[in-house]
Amino acid sequence: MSETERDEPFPAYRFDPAASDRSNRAQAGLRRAVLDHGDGSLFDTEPQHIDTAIARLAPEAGS
Amino acid sequence: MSLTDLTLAQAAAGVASGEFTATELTEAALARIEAVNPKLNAFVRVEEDTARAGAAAVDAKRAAGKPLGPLAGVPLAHKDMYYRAGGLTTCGSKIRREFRPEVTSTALARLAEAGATYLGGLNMAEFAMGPTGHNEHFGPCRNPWDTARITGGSSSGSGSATAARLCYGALGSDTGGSIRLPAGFCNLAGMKPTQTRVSRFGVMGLSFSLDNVGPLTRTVLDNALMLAAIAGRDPLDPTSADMPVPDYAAAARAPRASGVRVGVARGFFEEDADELALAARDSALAALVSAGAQPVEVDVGDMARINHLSAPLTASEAATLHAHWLRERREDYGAQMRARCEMGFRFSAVDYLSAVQLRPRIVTAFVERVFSACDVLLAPTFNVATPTIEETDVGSSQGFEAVISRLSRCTRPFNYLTLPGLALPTPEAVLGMPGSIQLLARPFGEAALYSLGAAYEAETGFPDRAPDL
Repeated sequence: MSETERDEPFPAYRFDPAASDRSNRAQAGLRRAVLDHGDGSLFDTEPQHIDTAIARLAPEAGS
Repeated sequence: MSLTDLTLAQAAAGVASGEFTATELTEAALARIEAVNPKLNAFVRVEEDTARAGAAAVDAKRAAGKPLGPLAGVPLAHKDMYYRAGGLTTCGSKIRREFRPEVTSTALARLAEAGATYLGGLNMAEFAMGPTGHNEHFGPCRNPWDTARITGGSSSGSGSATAARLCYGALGSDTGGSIRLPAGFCNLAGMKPTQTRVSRFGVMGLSFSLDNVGPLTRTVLDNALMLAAIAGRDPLDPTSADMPVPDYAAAARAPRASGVRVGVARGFFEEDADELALAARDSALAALVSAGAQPVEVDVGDMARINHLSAPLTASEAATLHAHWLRERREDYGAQMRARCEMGFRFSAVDYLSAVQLRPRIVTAFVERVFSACDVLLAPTFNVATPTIEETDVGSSQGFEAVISRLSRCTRPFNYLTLPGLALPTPEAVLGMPGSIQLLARPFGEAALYSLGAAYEAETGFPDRAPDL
């Protein structure tokens, strides 16, 4: 076990070793999902507000 | 017919008319809890004194000729994560076994204002993380249709207690399916409202981007009555939506399927599915068509991608909320809860913010594409046969991710998408256990779901089925 493993995420804390594999898989899935969206860039996008978006999509607004 | 066999709406009407008293309803519920709960482990705490005092207050009010609320005298119980000032709230955990909050959740305050009484706290997955109904600290909750099988989670006790007629309805919470799954596995109606539709003030948080408060009930009207009581803007929860609240009960009392375009979600929802679960889904679609709905095929797109995007929200937010206790009281967590929180520390800030930044665009694109082709989307709530408690007792072992992913595969995407989803039982069972569909609408479309759900209920008669306990 490395020093890094002993100190993540807190000093003297040790991750469950399996957490690393699980996290790597989840992270890879997420990063593929982000890349698959449009051209994969979030450049020139404004901070997004989900509440504004869904209010605009409500039945009275959208149909 | 026993008083506990009444629906929530019938119970409220009976108290209002004087056919029976709130005290009689409460005593009937307490007697049934005493007789049946040992088989189910649905309640982690029964509060007889609170229940009796609440009932007596309603009866006194009626005797004095004062106006009663729409849920007056109806005994409810809730997932044990809704705060009541001074009352125990365990959150299904060892860490909060003796926790007494200083505030009362807005959801419970509003139910009390509507006249409902409180029977006690219901079993749940530890800190609401887990789709099966296991709990290392309080023991597994059991399904009243077959006590060897799971209830679904994380609102396990809400599903089990309501289906077993221990209470007339219950609040759950839904971060990835935790209302819809136990509703589905226990033959109930379960509503995950639109994100921000219901205040989360005083409700234990798991993932503030994805958490929802909603009811599990035996009928669609019962569900609408409970949501009507709790929905709407709350100054104590700045994230709650400042949107008008339609008359949900009126929608449920006006069943309508005729001409409603029901889109059938296929692809992702049919992959890796048990054939019998899909046959149950098809029986539900046939019932909707028989009631007058018009089936249409829709392209739901890449739902697996949406599940990938929701992962950092759940994991990172849960890890943030639990970091202090993970550091100080690691051994007091169940193995699976700890393992899932630990994943949250591994996502980068860029991972997390990418998922947040993309969300409005993905929601908008999904809603505009799907709900231009249909009015309501139909998907299975789960596409597997109900597993046993033993089969899914995986803790943090090698296979736990696969179990979680498979059970919540069909529900999780709609939390990221913010959409309201009403889980309803299918006409056909799956290996003798309840099957379930979810009906989904555009944001704030709960009334349309209740109206269609009521037509479906009239067609299928699902509330008439009762477990033999």
